[in-house]
Amino acid sequence: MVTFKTRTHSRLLSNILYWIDKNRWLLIALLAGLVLNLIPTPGDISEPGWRTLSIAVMVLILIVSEALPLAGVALFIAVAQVVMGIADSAMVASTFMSDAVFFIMGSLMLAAAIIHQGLDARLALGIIRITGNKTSRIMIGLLVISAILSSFIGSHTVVAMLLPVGMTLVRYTATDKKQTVNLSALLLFSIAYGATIGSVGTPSGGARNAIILGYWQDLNITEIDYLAWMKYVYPLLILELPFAVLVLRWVFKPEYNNLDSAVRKLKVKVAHSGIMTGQQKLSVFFFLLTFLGWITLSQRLGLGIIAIAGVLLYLAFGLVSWDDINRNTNWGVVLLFAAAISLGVQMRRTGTALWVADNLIGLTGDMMAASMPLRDAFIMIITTTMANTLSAAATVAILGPININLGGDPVTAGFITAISSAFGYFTATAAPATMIIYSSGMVRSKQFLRAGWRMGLVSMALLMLVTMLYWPMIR
Amino acid sequence: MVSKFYINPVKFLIAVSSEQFSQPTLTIGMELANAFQAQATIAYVEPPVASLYADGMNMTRETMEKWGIPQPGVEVLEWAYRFIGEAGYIENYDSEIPFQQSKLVTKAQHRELVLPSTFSDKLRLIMRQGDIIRELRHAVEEDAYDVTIIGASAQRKMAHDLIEYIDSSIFVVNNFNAELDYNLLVCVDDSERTRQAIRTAAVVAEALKMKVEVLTVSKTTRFGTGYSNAHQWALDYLDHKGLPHRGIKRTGDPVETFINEQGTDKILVMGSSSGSALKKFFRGSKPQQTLEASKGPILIVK
Repeated sequence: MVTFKTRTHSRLLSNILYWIDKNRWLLIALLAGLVLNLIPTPGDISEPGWRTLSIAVMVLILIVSEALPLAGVALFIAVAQVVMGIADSAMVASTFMSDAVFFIMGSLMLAAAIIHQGLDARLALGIIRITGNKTSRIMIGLLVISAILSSFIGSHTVVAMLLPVGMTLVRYTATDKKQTVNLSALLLFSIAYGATIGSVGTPSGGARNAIILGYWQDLNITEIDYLAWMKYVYPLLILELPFAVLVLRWVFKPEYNNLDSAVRKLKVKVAHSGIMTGQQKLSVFFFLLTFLGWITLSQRLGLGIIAIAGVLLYLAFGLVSWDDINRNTNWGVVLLFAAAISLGVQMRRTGTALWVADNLIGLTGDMMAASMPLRDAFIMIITTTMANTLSAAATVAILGPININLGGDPVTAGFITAISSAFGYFTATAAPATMIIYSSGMVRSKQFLRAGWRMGLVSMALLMLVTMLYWPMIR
Repeated sequence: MVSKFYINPVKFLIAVSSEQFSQPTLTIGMELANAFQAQATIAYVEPPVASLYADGMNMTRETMEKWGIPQPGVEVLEWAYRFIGEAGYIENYDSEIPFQQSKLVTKAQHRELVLPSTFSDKLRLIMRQGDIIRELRHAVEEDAYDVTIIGASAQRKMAHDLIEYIDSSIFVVNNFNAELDYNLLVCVDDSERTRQAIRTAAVVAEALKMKVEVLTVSKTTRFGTGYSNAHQWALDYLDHKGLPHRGIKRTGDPVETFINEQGTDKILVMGSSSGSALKKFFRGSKPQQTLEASKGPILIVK
């Protein structure tokens, strides 16, 4: 008998090498931690502070490389804090849970509950009724609706609802993908950019916003509530939208200026969903109730408890099953954010955040301490860069305490950190919204950079303008 | 048909990535599978999703499914289904019947669709998600495939990983042109796997009616006994099998010579290196260097 293969005798060494090869980043992270713990601690930072820094470095490597599952990184943070003598287990456990974590968890569960209601078809109908058949108006409609919705319910939920609408329009326009390269990009990027821009609009738009609010409260810096956040950030969101329209229309000139036939077919498709059901009305009502709670009761009850109460309503009235919530909530992310916040608390408590901040200021020859715009620009650039390689929320959790300690107004520093962490325009994988549209297979990776660098620069310029001109007026 | 050569059916794993890039891979892969009456599995490995965004991806998939929009991976499987159906490899294939995404059965590690094949008892379409090397390695471990057929990759490290981490022979379909009449170029030396490579080349040549060229390259003008004996053994073996062949001896750098001799119309066949895994990890091997440099199809026999 002839075969194509001789089974090899001993594959042990080969298997070991395979494991090393596939887990090299885990080994690099551990090695980096070991080296940092072996070299002498600099005189101006405490022993626990230096060890906390070593954990932060290892965690950064693990998150960027995804060498461990997210939940694994979270567990690593807990274990490392105790084993390395930074805090005892009771303290670590208490820093893992806070209102910010409740808020992140509640928001993710709310998103899972909302997506279950099948409001996407209704949303599609609403958008095309307002915009009509012109491509330019449809893209504006998708961008604006995506931004407004994501500011309240998070970007990934909105993209999950709107992506099929955009894709259906493209597929109804032409079956050959080559004929709709720019049209696909224009519509899908409108959804993603709208969701990304919108996600900073309110505290419930993204986990990063809740994390910054948590740090401000912990440090007794300020008590900014839901509405006050909107007052600071919503004008920037509105300002960014027309620029996003210009950038996208400039970069992606669509092959079709009119989507008559596609819109007609889409109308027929979504018309099957009939009139709004009682369940759908109730689910919208419960979300509005939760939103009202965030606006009026957050100072007394906390944003997190209100979000969880909202989920409770959906469950109690049978609008969603626990299985659906369980399936669509990324518990690993919740655990990771809890762990990142815990690490942030230790960075502040042990003086690591202050030490890193002081050294950063020192590196710029104290220029940063003397010039606030320079400090703000520095925060914005470092946060944007890090958020484009790491997750926005993990970036904020780790950079938040450092940025707040960089001197000057900690509220401004916090807002800049939260907002610029959302500028994930540069690559396909930089933000949940861009990642999701990329996974549709209808846009190409190089298109992200083509539009992304323009949108990134515009966003940074607008943030600087708002920081220097608008915020001082409302403080 | 060459089924008489086999007691057990041969198992082929054909990895496809997209309609745009995988047509040659599927063409030659299915031709081979048909010739060997092999159990063929066509696999699409979806790139991994950053776990931070997993919930968003799940939600999007659910809404897309509700809207009747297939996932990109399912689209690739649908294309593969149509392609092999049109080529006559699926029994009772009807181009009018739409591809039913719902018939994909979810298993522990993958989703699959079993099809009635015209040439063997098993023809499957499967979809996995994750790192391509990890997933192909697991698939080969689970189903003991004999050959993994895959398109070329621009990534340099891919050659090493394919050869070293996947426990099957590897056929890399690089710049394959279905219009050309290919011959086989077998690289022969005194290494452990050379005879296996020659036997395999003979079977492939018989199945696909190809001529075989036996190439032995020495770095010096003197061919050692090991090389000469291996070369002669190959020629005798092909003689015995009654296959058209010719022997070539060259002096020079082996990898460079293999590539030069391969040209554009030959499929290179060589045995995998039997050197130490540690050495191959750090310094590579002749098959690996050849795979990295080759501009044509290449079969590495294990």
